[in-house]
Amino acid sequence: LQGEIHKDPAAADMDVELLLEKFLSALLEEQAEHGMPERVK
Amino acid sequence: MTASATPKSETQGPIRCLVIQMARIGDTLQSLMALRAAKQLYPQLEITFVARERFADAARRVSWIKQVVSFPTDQLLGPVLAGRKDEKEAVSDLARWTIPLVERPWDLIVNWTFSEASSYLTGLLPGKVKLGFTRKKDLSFSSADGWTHFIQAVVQEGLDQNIHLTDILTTQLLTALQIHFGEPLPEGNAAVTSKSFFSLKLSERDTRILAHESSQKWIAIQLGAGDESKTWDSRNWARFIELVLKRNPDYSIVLLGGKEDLKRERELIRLVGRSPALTSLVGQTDFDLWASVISRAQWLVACDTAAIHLASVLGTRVLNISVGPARWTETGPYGNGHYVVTSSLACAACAAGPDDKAASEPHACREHVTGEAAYATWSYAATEWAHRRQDRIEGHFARLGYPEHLTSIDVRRARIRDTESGGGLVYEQMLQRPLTSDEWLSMTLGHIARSWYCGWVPPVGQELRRERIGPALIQKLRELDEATKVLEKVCGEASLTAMSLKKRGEKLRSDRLMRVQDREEIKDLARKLFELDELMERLGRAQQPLQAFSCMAKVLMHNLSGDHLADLGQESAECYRQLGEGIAILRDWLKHTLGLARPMAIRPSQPAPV
Repeated sequence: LQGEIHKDPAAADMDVELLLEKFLSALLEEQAEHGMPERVK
Repeated sequence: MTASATPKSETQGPIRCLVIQMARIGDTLQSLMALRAAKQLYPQLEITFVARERFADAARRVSWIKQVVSFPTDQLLGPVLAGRKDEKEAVSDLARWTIPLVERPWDLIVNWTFSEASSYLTGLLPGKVKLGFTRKKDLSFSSADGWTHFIQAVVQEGLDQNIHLTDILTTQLLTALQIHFGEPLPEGNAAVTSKSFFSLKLSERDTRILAHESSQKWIAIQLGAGDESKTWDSRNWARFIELVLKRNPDYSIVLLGGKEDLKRERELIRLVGRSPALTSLVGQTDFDLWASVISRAQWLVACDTAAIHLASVLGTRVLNISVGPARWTETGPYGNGHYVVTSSLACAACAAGPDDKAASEPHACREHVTGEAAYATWSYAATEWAHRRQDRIEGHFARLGYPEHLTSIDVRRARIRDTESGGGLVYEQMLQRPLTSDEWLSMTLGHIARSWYCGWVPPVGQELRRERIGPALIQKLRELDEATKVLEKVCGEASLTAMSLKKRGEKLRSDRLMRVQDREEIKDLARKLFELDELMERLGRAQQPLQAFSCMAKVLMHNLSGDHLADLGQESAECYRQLGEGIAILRDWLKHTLGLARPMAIRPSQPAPV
C-alpha cells in the first residue's frame, strides 16, 4: 500500500502506516461513541 | 452557471470520481441526489461510491454509479471492539481494504462524510482534486474547499443558515467540476428526482405486498427517527391515523420502520386498533421493498428520518413532522410541494447546549405538534389541487375545528426557486407570523455563503416581506447593527495587520534567522492579530448572529497552507477580506430590513403596496 501511495509525488513522504493507525483509531472511537460516524449534523 | 458554445465536458475522457460517504443512509441518499445532478451535467463522470456495507444497497441500485465499494464495519471493527483482534492486525485488514482504492490516482475525491475518520481515508488516497475533510502531509486536519469551510464552521456548529444540504453538496461538486474539468453540458439540467431513480429488485412476496389494495391511495408512515428525541409520540401518531382513516376512506396507511421500531408499532396498533386500511411492514423491509412502498405511496409522513430523503429522491410528497433537535432547513424533504410542521414555541431541551442540564430533559416541542395539527396540514396539502392555495391554511384549520392546534406550530412548504431567483430550495412560511431573528439570520447567512462560493446572488432581501417584520425583530436588528459596525472595523484592522505581516515577511531573508528588531515587530503584529481574533470571538459570544464570523475565522486560519511568513500574511489578509465581504452583506441586510420597516406614507387614491 505504501509503495502505491508513494508513487504520487504529492504523497511521496507520507507516513502511510501512521495514517492507517489514525484512521482505525478514529473509526473505533466513532463506533464506540455513536455506533456510527458522526453525521454532518 | 453558464455553458459555453462547445462544452469541454463533451470533448474530455472520463472523470474518475471517488465519493466517500461513510455516514448513514440518509446522508447516502442526499449524496446520490447531488451526484445525479452532476452526472446529468457531466455524463463522463465515472463514479465509485464508498459506503458502509449496511447502507450500500441504495448506491448499488443506481445504474449510473460505476462501482460501489462497501466498508465492512462489523467485520473490520467488530473483532477489535470485542477484544478478539489487536489493532495491529486490524490496521493490516484496513490496508488490504484500501489497496483497490489507490491503484490509480482519482481525478476527483469527494468526501461527503464530514467525519474525522473519513478525513484520514481521504488523506491517504491519491487524487488530483479533493473536496471535504482530508489530511495534510503532516497529517493535520484540513478542510479542502470553501463549502467545506462553511460546513465545518457554520453547519456543524449548529448555527442557523438556510441552504439545504443537498444544495450545498450539489453546488460544491458542480463548482469543482466546472473549475477543474470544464463547462457542463447545456442540456443536462433535467429533473433529478424520479420514480425510477433506483433499479429495484423485488421478490414475489414484495410484489404481492405492493399489489395489495391497488385501488387505494397510500400514506406511508415511517415510525421512529435517527434519535429518540426526534420521534413523535405514539398517541399523536394514533390520532393522526384515526383522523385520516375516518375522513378519507380512499386512503390506506402503511407503517414502515426497522426492527428497532417494533415496540413503537405494537403500541400504535394497540391505540388505533386493527383495521383493513392499516398495514404494517415494520421490521420486514429491505432497501428494495422500503423504496418500492415509498415510491408507490402518495404521501410519506415521517419525523427526521432517512425515509424523507428516500421519498424526496423518488418524488413522493412528504409531510415532515420535525420535532426535537432536527434541522429541517438543512435536511428536510427536498423538492416542490413537501410540507414541514414544526413547533413554534420555545423548547428548553432544543435550546440547551450539549452540556446543559436541560439537554437531557424531555423535548416539549414533541407535544406542541398534535395529531390534529398534522392531520389538518396534511389534508390542506393533499387538496392543493382543489383550492390551489387560494384558501389560507388558517381558514382550513378553523373549518376543521382545530384553530387552537395552530397556535403552537409553524407550517412550511418546500419550493425550488427558479435560477433567476438564486436557485436552491426554500421553505416558505404558510402562516401569517412575524419573522423571527433566527429565521432572518438563517436567510442572511445563506445569502453570504452563496456570495462567497457561488459568485452570483439574488438581490439582498428578495424573500423578505414587509408584513412579516415586527417590532421584536427590529429591536434585535438595531442592537445587531451597532455590533456589526464594530466587527467590520475589527475585521478591516485585522486585514491591514495581516498585510503588514506579509510585507514584513517579504523583507526577511529567512523566517528563522532574523534581526532582533524584526523579530519584535513580527511578534507585535502577531499579538495584535491574536487580540483582534479574540475580540471577534467576544463579539460573537455577545451577539449570537456574529458567531458565524468568528467560527469562520477559526476554520479559515486553521486551513492556511503557506510555508513562509509572507505567504501566511497574504493568505490571512485574504481570509479577513472574505469575512469583511460577508460582514458588508450582513450590513446590507440590516439596512434593507430596517428600511422596509419604516412607516410609509400612502396616498388614499393609490392602492396599498404589497
